[in-house]
Amino acid sequence: MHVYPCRFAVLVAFTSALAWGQDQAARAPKKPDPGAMFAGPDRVDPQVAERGKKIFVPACGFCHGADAAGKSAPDLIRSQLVLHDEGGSLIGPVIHDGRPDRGMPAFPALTKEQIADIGAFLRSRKQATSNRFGYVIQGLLTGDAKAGKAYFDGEGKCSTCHSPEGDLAGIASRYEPVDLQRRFLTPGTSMMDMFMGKKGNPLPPARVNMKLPGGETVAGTLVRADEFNVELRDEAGWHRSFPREGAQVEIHDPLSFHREQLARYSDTDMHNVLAYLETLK
Amino acid sequence: MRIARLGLAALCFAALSLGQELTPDALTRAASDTWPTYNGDYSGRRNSPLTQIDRSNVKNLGLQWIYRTGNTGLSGFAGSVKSTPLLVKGTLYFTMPDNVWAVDARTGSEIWHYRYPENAGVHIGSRGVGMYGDWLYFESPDCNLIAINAKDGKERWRKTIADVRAEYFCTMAPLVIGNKVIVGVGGDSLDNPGFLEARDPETGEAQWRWETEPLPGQPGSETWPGTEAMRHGGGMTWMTGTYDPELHLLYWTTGNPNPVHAGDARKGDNLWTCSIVALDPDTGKLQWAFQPSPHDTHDWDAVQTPVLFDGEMNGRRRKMLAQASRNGYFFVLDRKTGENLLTAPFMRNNWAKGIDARGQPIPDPKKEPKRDGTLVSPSSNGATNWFPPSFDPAKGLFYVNASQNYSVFYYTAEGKPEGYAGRDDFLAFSSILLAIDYRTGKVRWEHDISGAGAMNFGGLLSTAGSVLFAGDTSGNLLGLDSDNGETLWHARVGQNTTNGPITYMLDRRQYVLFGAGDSLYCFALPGGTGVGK
Repeated sequence: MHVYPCRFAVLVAFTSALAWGQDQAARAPKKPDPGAMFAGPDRVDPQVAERGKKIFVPACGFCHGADAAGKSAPDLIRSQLVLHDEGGSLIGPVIHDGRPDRGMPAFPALTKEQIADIGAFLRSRKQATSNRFGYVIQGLLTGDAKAGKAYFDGEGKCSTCHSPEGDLAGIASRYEPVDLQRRFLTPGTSMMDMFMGKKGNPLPPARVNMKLPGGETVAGTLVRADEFNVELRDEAGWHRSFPREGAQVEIHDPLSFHREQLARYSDTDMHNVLAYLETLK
Repeated sequence: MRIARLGLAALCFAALSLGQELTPDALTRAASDTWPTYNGDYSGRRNSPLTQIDRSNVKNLGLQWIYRTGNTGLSGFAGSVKSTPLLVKGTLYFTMPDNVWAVDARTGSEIWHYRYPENAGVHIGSRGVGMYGDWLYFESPDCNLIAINAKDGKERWRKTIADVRAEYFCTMAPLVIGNKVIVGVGGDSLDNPGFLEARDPETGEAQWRWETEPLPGQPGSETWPGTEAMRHGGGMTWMTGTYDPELHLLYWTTGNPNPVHAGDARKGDNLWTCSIVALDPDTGKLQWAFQPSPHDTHDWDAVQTPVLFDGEMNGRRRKMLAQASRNGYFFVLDRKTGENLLTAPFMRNNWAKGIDARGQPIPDPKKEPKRDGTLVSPSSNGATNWFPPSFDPAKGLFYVNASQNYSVFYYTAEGKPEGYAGRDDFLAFSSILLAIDYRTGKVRWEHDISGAGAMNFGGLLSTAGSVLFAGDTSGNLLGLDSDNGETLWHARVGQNTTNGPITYMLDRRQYVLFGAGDSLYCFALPGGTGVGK
C-alpha cells in the first residue's frame, strides 16, 4: 500500500516544500544576480547607459518617449534596427541623417561616441524590459491595517502562533513590502528567492514521530521523507533512517497551516494583513 | 494535392528504404522497437504496446547502464536531460541546449557528441531532435535549425528560424511529417509574435509559415485592440505537436499572449494565443482553434501535449484530442472539428468565473495581476507544465503530473507595458500524479509524489503491461500500477526525473529509459532475452 492517504500526503507535501527550500537555499549562488539565468550575456554598463540617457531624453525623448517606448515616433525598445545595432553601427546613420520622409530630423552634431552611448541606453531599456527579475514591485500598501489586525487576531488565527510584541516585533523594518507579503503567506525560501539570489531564513523544522514494526518509538527532526523511507535527526543529534513499511509515521510541520491558509485568503485579507504587519516597525 | 503528397511520400519511402535511414512512413506506426519522434508516435499518447515488463514483474527491474553527460558547462536548470531521446536502429539521440548526443541503446556507450558554439540564446532546456532519413534536426538556443548526420554527428547545415536579437530562443524537438520538418519558437520577454514553420529536410528552406496572430481583418483580429498589440502579441510555439495521418491534420499549441501580465494593454481574447489549433500540414492553413485560456494574464501557455485518441464519448464514437492544460483545466475536443466535448478542472483554481458555451473558461478580471498583488492558483508555473502526459487507450485514463500551487501576481509596468510587465511570486508547490477518466474528467486515482522536494518536472509513460513510469521529488524512479496508482517498483537514483521516460525492445528485451538530472538511466528485467513472458 503505497498510495498516500490524503491527509498524510498533504503533510508530506508541506514538509517537502520545507526541505526543498532549505536545500535550494544551500545551493543558492553567493552573489545575488537577479535573473541571470534568463538574461542574455550582453549586459550594458549602467554608467554608459546613464550617459546615453542624458543625451537621448532631450534629443529624442519628445518623439520616442523618455523611456524609448514610443510616442509620436516608434518604440525603440523592440525596434529591429536598434536590436541589431552594434555601438551605433545602424542607428548612427539614422540619427546623423534623420529620416526626412518620415518626419525625423537629422542630428548631425552628435558625435560617434554620443551615438554609441545612446545605443547603450536603448540596449539597457531593452534589457530592463525583458528581464522581469529586475522589475520593481511597489504600491503594495493598499490594505486597511485595522482590518488586518482583526483578521490576524480573529478569522486568520495568526495570533495562535505569532504576536506583534514577540516574534513579529519590528518585522516591517526587516523586509521590503513585497518580501514581507510573500513571507507571511509562505515563510521560507521561495523559488523566486532562488531566482533573485535572495537569502531565506532557517525555518522551524518539522518533527517526526515513528512507531516501528517492533514497537520501538523514535522521534526527531525530519530530514527527508518519501513513500519508502523516513530520515530524521534524533534527540541525540544522530542521523537515522527507517523504512516506512509497517511503521506508523506522524509528521508535524509547524508551517502546514500557512500552506492550507493559501486557499482561504481573499486578496483583501492579504492586503489588510500586509498593511497591519507594516505597522510593526 | 493529396495524391501528389502521397506520391511524394511513397517515392521517399522507396528511396530511403534501401539504406538504414528512418523513413517518414515509420513515424505513422506505434512505437515498439523504435521511438522515432518526440512522443514516440504522432498521437502524443506515450503509451507503449510492449508487455514484457508488466505489473507482475516490474518489481524485478534492474539497472542496465547509466550514461552521464559530464561537463557541458550548463547550469543545473539547463544542464538536465529534458529531452525525450529518439531510439532508431539501436541508437539513442538526445539533447540539452547546445548539445546533442548519440548513445548505444544496449550498452550506454557514447557514439558521438555534437556541440554547438557558445551563443546568446537563453539556455533553459532542449526537448530533443526530429529525424528524417539519416538526418537529425536540432533547434539551438539562438534559434538555428541544424541538420546533423546521425551516423557521425557532423553538421550538414544550419538555417535561421528566428531572430535571437529580438529575444526569441528555441527549445522544442522538431516534428517530421512526410518531407516537412515542423519547427516552433519560444521567448516571451520582448513581445514578439509567435509562429510555426515547415522546413525542407534537405535544404532547411521554409515551406510554409503559420503566424499565431492574425493579420488585420482576418478572423481572430477582432480579439485584439489593434494592429500594434496584435503584432506584438506573443503566442510562442514552444512544444512539439501531434498529427493525425488519417485526417491529415497537424495539431499544435500556443503560448501566452504579450505583454505577459498586462491584460489592459490587449483587451479581448487574444487569438490565437493560449490555443490548440488544427493546421493543414501541407500549407500551414488554420482549420480550427480552441482556446484553453482566453485573454491569459498569468503566463499559462496552453502548450501541453494535445493527445490524440479514439473512443466513446457521450454514447458516440469520436476522434478526440485531450489536453491537461497549464491553467488547471482538462479539455476533450472532437479533433475533426474542434468542438468541445468536456471541460473539467483537475486542480483547484480561483481565476475562472465559469465555463462559456464553447467550453472555454471565463477569466475573472479581479484575478488579473495588480500592483498590490492578487493571490492566484495556479502559479505561473501552472497546474502542470511542459512535461509530457500519457494516455492509455485501453483504460481510458489520461495521466498527468500535476501541481497545486499559488502565486501572488504583480503588475509592475510604469508607462507603456512591455515584455512581462509584471511578475509573480511563487508560493507553495507540490506534485501529484493524476489518472483522469477522459469520459468524465474525474480523477480516478491520485498518487502524491511531493515526498521531499515539492515539485517534479518529469513526464510520464504508460504501457500495455499496465505500468505507469514516473518519478517523484525524492530522486526515486517509479513504476506504478496504472489501474490504481499503487507503487510496484522504485529505484532511488538521487536525481528527480527531468524528461518523459521511454521504452523500447531490442533483441527481444524491453528497456525503460529515464532522464534524471544530467544522466540517462536504463532498466530491464534480469536474465537477458526471453525474460518475463
